[in-house]
Amino acid sequence: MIRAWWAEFRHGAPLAAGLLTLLAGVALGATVGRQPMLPGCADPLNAGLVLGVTVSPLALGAAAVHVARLQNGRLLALAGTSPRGRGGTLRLAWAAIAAWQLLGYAGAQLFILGNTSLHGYCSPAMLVLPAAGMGFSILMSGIGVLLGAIRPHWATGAIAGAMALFVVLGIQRLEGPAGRLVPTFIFTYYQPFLDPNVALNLAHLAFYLAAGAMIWALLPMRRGAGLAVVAAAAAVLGSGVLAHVVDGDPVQHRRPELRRCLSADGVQLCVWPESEAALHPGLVAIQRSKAVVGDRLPTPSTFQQEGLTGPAGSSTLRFDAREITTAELQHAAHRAMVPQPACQAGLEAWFSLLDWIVAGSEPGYAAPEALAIRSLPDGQQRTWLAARYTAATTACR
Amino acid sequence: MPDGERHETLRLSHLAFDYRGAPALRDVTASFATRRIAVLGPNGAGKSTLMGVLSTSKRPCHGTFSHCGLAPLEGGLSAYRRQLGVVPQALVALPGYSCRELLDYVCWLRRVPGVHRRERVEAALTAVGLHDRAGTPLRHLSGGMLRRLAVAQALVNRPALLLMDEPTAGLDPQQRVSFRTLLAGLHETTIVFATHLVEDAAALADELAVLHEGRLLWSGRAEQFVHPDQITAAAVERRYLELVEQAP
Repeated sequence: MIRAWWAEFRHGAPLAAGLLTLLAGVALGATVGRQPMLPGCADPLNAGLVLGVTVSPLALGAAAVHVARLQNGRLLALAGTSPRGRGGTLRLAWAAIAAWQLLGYAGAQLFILGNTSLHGYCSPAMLVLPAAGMGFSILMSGIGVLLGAIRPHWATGAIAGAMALFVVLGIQRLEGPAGRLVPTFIFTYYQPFLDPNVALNLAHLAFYLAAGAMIWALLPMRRGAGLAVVAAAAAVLGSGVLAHVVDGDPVQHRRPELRRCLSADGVQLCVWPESEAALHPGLVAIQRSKAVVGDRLPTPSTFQQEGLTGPAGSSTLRFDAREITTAELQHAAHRAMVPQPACQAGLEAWFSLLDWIVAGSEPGYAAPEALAIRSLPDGQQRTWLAARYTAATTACR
Repeated sequence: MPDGERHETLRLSHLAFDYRGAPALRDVTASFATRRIAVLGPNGAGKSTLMGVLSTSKRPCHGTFSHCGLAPLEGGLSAYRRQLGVVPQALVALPGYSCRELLDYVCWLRRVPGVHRRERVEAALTAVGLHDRAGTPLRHLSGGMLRRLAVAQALVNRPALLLMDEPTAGLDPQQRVSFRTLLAGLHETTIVFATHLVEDAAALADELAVLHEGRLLWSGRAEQFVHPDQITAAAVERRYLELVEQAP
């Protein structure tokens, strides 16, 4: 098996498509923007997934061309008289193309990872991203083999590959029920405390493997494979339904005990380890915001970065973990002076309070309404603030 | 040996095949007891279809067949295919493959155990005189060499049943003689070959089957086809033409 596979692997369409996939993957990997990626492994792995899926139509086209070549070389007919049958040759062709496809995927993925700062959160759960991507790639090469077996002509590969590219680029932007079967999240960036949704990605992987199993069962192109095809079709249906019913949101598995904390003047700030550089400037920003608020509003004494939990009455400091700037930390501190309501009802009051804080800190950026409140006598300001504070903090109870 | 006691190598029983309604084989029934069987017939007689059915690449719409008791359509498909060697009418070069790689591949297809593969590949290449071309890419082989390679791939699993469709087409007279010598050495193998060249049939076959328009016109021992003292190409051709002309 190994020798036959090796012969398939290193010649003709599998070799050409494999090298092309590898080159395309590495070239695209070199151009993937690192700037938007958040710390940790999830975003580079997600970028690899998008890349792997995007170049997979190459394998589909190459597989169809390769099968046409086997047919024209009479090898497929010869295989039809052997114990392994046509199915054996087609499956071996699939294995050769898929191996190249996986190599291309792995090459591009390693290139992205090698060019990304991986400090931050990495977890085994994130491996579902490349697993789903590789499952998709294997399925695509299987579809190519099946199409080539149905219509063995080089044009099948060219047309099917081009159509697949069109479809793949389209489905990556799908939303709604159909989008639930797509493994890529091209506009998703994983916050440093979030893991991909394992259930959804495993449902994707199961769907691709089940569809692959169905193609595997169909490849002998003979009657008699009925039971295997029916079983695989049931698995496709089951995993498809599963992909629709599982909760698809990213989940938090990261343990909050890993926090780094700093206290000064009765105020404590805790952040994730990779954001340790934000501790001191964050604390300074909080003190500045507290000074702007003064004693007109009750403010928390404990703050934590998003994803960490704190004691009752603490507030969350939301800042972009990619690039920690003073301005951004200041804005995050303003927003954290009053804990953000978890429901829509309290948000209007909360935004009014935020505008009032910004008007006191940076009048040049403030809304005219907030500046008008700021110009009121202290008593009137306090009454106005108390009403909105109550609305912002109690509306969601 | 009386018919009831004779050892049967190949049996065809009411075989029928059609291409989208156009019959290519019509109720072909025959039994053979020797290991050298020639299927004779003009172009379009159904020879290649019969070889396709025997090679199991075509499934008959009616009837069965067996070789030494192995009936592929009655549950013995895998075992039947394992003991089968097939020389196709044309084997086109696959870009990149060398002779050895192609034979390795066929070993895998025929489930030749891994421990025997190297030896079988070398033996098959030696048998057809291509041992010094083992590493040559197929695209560098001449037409005659490709025909010999087609035979080598069919021998690589040491088949009990060897099917050949027009095996000497494209061979020069010297290669044809070598080829016949090669086949003569395969004592344990049942060889069924389709040809329209009566001299091949006369030189190689112990039994003949004559097909015309999908029907079996005649089958039996060569010495029954023509007088035992006259088994020459010319005599066989004369008798064959008589049969075809008398065909309904």
